[in-house]
Amino acid sequence: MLDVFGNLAGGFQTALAPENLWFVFLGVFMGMIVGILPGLGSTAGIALLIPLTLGLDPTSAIIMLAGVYYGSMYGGAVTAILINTPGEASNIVTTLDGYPLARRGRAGAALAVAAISSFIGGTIGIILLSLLASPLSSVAVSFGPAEYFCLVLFAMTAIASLMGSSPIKGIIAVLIGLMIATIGTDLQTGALRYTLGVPDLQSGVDFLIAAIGLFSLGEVFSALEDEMRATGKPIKLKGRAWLTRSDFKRSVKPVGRGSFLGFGVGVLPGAGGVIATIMSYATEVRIAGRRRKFGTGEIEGVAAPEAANSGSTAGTMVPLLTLGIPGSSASAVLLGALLVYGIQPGPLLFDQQPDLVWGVISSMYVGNVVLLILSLPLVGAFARLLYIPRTILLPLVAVVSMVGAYSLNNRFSDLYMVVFFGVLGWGFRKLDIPVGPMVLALVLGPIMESTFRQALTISEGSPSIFVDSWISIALLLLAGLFMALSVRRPKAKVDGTESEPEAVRSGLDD
Amino acid sequence: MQQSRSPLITKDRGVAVGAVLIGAAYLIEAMRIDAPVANDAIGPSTFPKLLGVLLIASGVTLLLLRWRRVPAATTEAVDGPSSAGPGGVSIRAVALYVLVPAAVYAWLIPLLGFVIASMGYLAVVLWKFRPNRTVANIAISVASPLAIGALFGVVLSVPIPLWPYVMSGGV
Repeated sequence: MLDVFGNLAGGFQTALAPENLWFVFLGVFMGMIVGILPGLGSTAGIALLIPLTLGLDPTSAIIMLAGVYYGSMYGGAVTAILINTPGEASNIVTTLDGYPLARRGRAGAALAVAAISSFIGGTIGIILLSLLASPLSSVAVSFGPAEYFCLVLFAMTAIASLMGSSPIKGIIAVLIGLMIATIGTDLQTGALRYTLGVPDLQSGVDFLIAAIGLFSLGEVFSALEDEMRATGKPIKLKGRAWLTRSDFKRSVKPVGRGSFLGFGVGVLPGAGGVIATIMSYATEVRIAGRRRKFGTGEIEGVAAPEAANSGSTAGTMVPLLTLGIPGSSASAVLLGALLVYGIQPGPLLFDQQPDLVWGVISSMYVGNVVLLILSLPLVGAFARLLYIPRTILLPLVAVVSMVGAYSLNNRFSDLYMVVFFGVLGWGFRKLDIPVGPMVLALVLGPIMESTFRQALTISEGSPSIFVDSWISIALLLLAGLFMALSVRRPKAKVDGTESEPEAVRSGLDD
Repeated sequence: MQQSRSPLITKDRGVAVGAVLIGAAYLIEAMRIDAPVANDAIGPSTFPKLLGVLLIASGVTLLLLRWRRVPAATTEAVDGPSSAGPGGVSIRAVALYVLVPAAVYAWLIPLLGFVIASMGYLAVVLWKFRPNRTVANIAISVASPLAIGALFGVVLSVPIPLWPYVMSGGV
């Protein structure tokens, strides 16, 4: 333990050097800007900014890129809350209550709680990373394909049962998302699946294209339709752009739970922030029971997933630094950056390059503080974006979405794809099918299929492998429990009354 | 007053039938996946087949759930796909003023570049939704694409085709 504090002290000396402090600040700021732009999430942000860091000392460069990672995570939450467009897959869950909060004029509170939760989640995550990095790396490798499959299945079940007006529609949305995820070239056999002879489909459907279409354009189409019907209500910001005492009180426990849960899930390679945010949201829904109407703008629905997201960001550093295994797409790009600088992550990294490792870990503490300092004053400014009349804001969101969609792969076909998903999202909203589970299934689908196939290959086709370990059994039981409980959940009435999500969308809760 | 089923039940039955049809089409296509020598125990078509079966099963379940709840609600009109909604706006009007402009915009970007296509899209949508503010609409339509294009194309160096091919000299 003393070693840890000694190393951290050395790391802080590195991180607090004036030039590194400047790089942390720059990285966080650029990350926030990149995160706010649709299509350019943390992965693209880090990738875009790697060339800018090539002339720097490796420690400074990695410190700056870690700052970009943190900043873009928060930037993704800003757009998720303000315009229902998650910057990252891990921000999808934030839209569920963040956007309804903004529609009710409480964008400031939602943004503030996102910033504070991110800060606390990130700080707890980094403390756990400092203390537990080495022992946890052995837990991470104890998860085999069968356990991963069960984990993803559990996450899917949780999200299908929690989102939307009916669990069965949530399941249909998940299944359609999984189906879209199978489009493209099968990486294990090279077989083409569902490509319809279109060459651009051979590489599959990018989940960010689907997310931009389903969330951003879908919302633009629905909101413009509301304007045509004259049912769209202008958003009036209520009170100060800050949290009330009650908001603080209600957020404390969800943030604590989300931070630890997020870190724990983040440690598992491949699980990343998506599963962490789903699990923390699901936990809060279950704990609150009927006291809260999640999906209509509950502060806990933003606090918990944002804390989990930041906690998982620190968690993904455990397998990245100790095993060289990236836990998410953004950390995969970070791994690429480490390799560019000749740094080989792995068990020996802590011994061979302690200055770098502890410098990066310490800079994450500093980056977290810088993120809070930068984000809180901007909460009011971000919230005021909603003052722009919707008839101007909506088409502008469509334009930015198109630019963002193109910039992902520089392919014109992505523009047609994003419009297709936009129309699909608009149609799903009309049919009360939740779009969130579909996008999450699209993200997790490849992991689910590959682990399913790997597990069955190991067991030579015997499905008993999925009940061989206590971890798998526990996760399967949890998945079953979630489905069973969701059947008892109060649903939207089937007598023609508008369901919750639609009520929120059309501003009826104002 | 007409005796009809509630809109939500009608919608749900539509979703159920759609899920069954999509599941069936997906399953049929899964059976046609050309699996070379599989490196794994189950090959590339088993997972899709499983998904197809599950989607059909989900559709049937939803259909059965909604079938049981037949008691008809007495409503004025069914908000069917072709009928006008509460504001007297038909799906056709939404398609014409909201969906088609977006589709045409996506189609025009490769031809005209982002800046000009975006100007056109914004002009059309703003004209429809803010008909009496011509000067402001023109200003927004011209200035916004230039600002967004500058941010992505110049500041962030994202390689987007800002202008038509001939104007950008092939860049």
